[in-house]
Amino acid sequence: MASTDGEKQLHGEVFAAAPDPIFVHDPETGRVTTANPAAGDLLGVEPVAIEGMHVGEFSPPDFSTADANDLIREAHETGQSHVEWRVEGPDGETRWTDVELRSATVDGADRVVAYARDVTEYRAAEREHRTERNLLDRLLDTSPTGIIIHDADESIQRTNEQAESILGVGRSELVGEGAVPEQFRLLTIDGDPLESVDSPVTQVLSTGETVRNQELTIERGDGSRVVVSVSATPLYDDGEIVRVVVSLADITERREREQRRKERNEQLRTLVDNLPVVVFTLDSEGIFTHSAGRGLATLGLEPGELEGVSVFDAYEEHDDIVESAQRALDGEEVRATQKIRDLTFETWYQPVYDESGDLTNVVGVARDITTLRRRRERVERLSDTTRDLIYADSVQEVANVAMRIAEDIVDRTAVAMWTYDEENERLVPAGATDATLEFAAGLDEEIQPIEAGTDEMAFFERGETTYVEDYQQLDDPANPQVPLRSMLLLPLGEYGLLFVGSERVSEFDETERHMLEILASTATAALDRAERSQQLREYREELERSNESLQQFAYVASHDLQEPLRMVSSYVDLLESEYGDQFDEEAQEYMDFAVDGARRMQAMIDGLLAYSRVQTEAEEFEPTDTEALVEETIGALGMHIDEADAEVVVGDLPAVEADQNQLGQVFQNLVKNAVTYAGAEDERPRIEIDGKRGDEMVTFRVSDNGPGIPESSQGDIFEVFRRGGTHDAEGTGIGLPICERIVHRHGGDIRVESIPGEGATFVFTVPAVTTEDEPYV
Amino acid sequence: MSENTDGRPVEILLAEDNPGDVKLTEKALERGKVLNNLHVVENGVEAVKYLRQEGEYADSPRPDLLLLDLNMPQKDGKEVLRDIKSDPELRRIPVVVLTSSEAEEDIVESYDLHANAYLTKPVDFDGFIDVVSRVEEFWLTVVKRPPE
Repeated sequence: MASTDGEKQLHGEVFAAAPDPIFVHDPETGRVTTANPAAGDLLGVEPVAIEGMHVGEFSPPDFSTADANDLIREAHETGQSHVEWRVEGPDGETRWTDVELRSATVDGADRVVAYARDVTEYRAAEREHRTERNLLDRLLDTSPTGIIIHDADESIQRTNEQAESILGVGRSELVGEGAVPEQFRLLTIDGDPLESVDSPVTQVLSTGETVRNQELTIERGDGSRVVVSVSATPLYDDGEIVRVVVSLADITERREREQRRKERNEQLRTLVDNLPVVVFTLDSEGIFTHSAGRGLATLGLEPGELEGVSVFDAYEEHDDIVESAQRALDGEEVRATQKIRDLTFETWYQPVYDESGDLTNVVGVARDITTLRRRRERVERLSDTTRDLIYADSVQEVANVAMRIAEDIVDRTAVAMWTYDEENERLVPAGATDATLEFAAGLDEEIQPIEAGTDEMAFFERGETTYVEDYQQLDDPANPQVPLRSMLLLPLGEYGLLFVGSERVSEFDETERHMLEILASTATAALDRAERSQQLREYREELERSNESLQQFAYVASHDLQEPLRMVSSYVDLLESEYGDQFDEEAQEYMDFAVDGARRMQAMIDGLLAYSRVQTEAEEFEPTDTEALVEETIGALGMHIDEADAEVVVGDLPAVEADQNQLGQVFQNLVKNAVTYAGAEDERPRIEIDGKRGDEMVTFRVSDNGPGIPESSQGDIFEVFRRGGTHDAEGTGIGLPICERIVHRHGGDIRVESIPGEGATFVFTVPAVTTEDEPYV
Repeated sequence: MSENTDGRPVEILLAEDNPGDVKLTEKALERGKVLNNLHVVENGVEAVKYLRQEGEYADSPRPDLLLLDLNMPQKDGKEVLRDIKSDPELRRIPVVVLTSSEAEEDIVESYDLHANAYLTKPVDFDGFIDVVSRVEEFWLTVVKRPPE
């Protein structure tokens, strides 16, 4: 039907307003009959100018007129044709134009209308789209994560290789399938069935939110399982979810590693929790971040109780702990001994650093060494008190010290000792600790002797330490009524038995038993020593007493002898003086004998007195100038020496530590003897006095060139009143014994060396001077 | 023999229990230089009685010198010393202890008890004479004796 005027106007407006260029061609000529303003814009001319132009004039250079004509003809004949032109736009850029031609009848004339559309942007968009699609494909294919893209209805649209590999199937088996294809089962990470509402895709679709890192187990068709971490995110278009993109990461290995790590941690945890120490960590501020270990129990703490608390608060009152912690936090490795209440801990603090060298933590271990310490102290005390044992003088003292030590080694026990009474063949109580006596008193018991035939006696006789776990189980106990159970019986050699007992069964541990055994053997040795020392002391006392009484006897005897002797001497003298002229020769001779006898008697008494005076008038030893002393002696004997015309040669005489007076007596005696006996037929009497210093003693020699001393006499020359007839100038028979006594008192020795006919040498030793003091005479 | 200053013989009291020693002393004094009368008592009790002129000694002369032995029966020399040296009437009498003891304690104690001198009896007669004469000389001539 023909269009109305209104419609024609509209068509004309539409034609003019159309955004796309429209060319109307005459199919006969191929020339433009009409073009719209948009066409004019395209060509950059007024639309009117285009009229009459041939298509070839504004088609691209590579599009010939012939082509143009063909194109128009095609449209005219078939009704439509199409071409795409690449055109150089006015500003030099490439533009694509999509031209669609249709045959049309305009006012009865045949026409071909060409609608040109600039599809440059469209094409660009298309290309970009394509590029992006390619990119996407590439991404998907190279992604290490499995990717599955679901449609809004959950069906699988696309997958990538990795996803296929994870799932173990090919693309074909996945695409088009539902969210969870049939052959697969979704399980939780622990392998329990998963509710379908919990499957990631379903969650995303229902919540519209992204699901991140949901860990699941996928069971494949063949039963094998893979643990995956799934993230799923919705893709919106116009507010509606159009896609769900799911990424899968195979975390099976990671999970296994984690499981192993967790296991290891568990093991470690168990280990740490059960260590008999306290293990702790402080952060860089000193706040506990960990505390574990069984050692906590001894502190009355629960594991973890201190976490979050600062060490400076928790142990505010323990300066040592605060100090150690501070030092460790300042970067020092600290090892310290600390006391908490009545416990002693040995604690290590180890600072820990990160890669940049900053202190991140202090790790610590604290070990309860209270018992160890106590033991060590005990052992120290033991060695101290053992010294007491060694210095104990008497058997009783040893017993007391040993019991004290035993009591120290094991508390809460009874300690007692028995000594062996050989005569009656029994063990007699030698004492017990106070605690033991109280214990016995509390039971109304006394400590009894141990008789032969009892178990205890048998142990003693066996001579080995015996540990009795339960006294009540023995066959022949000596005191079955005593409520003691475990005990140690320690024989002390042949002296006796040390006993340590407790009311508890199996009370003594190995360390205690060992220490007690050491005690027993030390005590036995000490007893040995004490006994010997006691014997020695007794012997010495005996000797001293005997000496003492001998001394007294000698003194008293000589004193009491003086008086009658004095009478005899004096009256004989008187007789002589008053009646001497009345005596005949015979009588005179009698008198002389009497006088002589009295004189000799007197000399002997004097000698005895002198002998005893070695003790009674003994003086302290002091440094003595021997040379000066001997010089004095020689001076005092001057007359004798002159009379004998003797030559006295004095050699080196080192100083000595001596009783000056007594040493003088020795020299006097020996020199006088020497002077008296020196000299031989053609030889002038010659006396040599010499001395030589040894390590501790000085050896003096007084020799003469006299007739010497017969061998038979050499033996008893130093015995009191044994006159050998030689070398006894005074004739008292006591001179040499006095020398011997004096020399012995000084701790030295004296002897005679003599070959008959070749003189005699008296050799004696006296302690040398030990200090640098100037000796004085 | 010389006389003492006022011409009269010196009175010497000897307290000695041993007759032998008494005789020796007599003999020694005879040979001495000073004219003297020797009176003898044989124990400490008699000695004190004599000095106090008691009983049978009421008319005995007051001694100018006492020769005192330490070892006497009944009352020994030390006791005598104690008695007379604490008696204001008697303490001026010089006392020479003449004894056989050389014991240091005896010497010390005697002097502590205010003996005027201590001598040990020599063993032989010559020595005895010597000692006695020296005593005489010293105590009876050289020394100023207290007045009556």
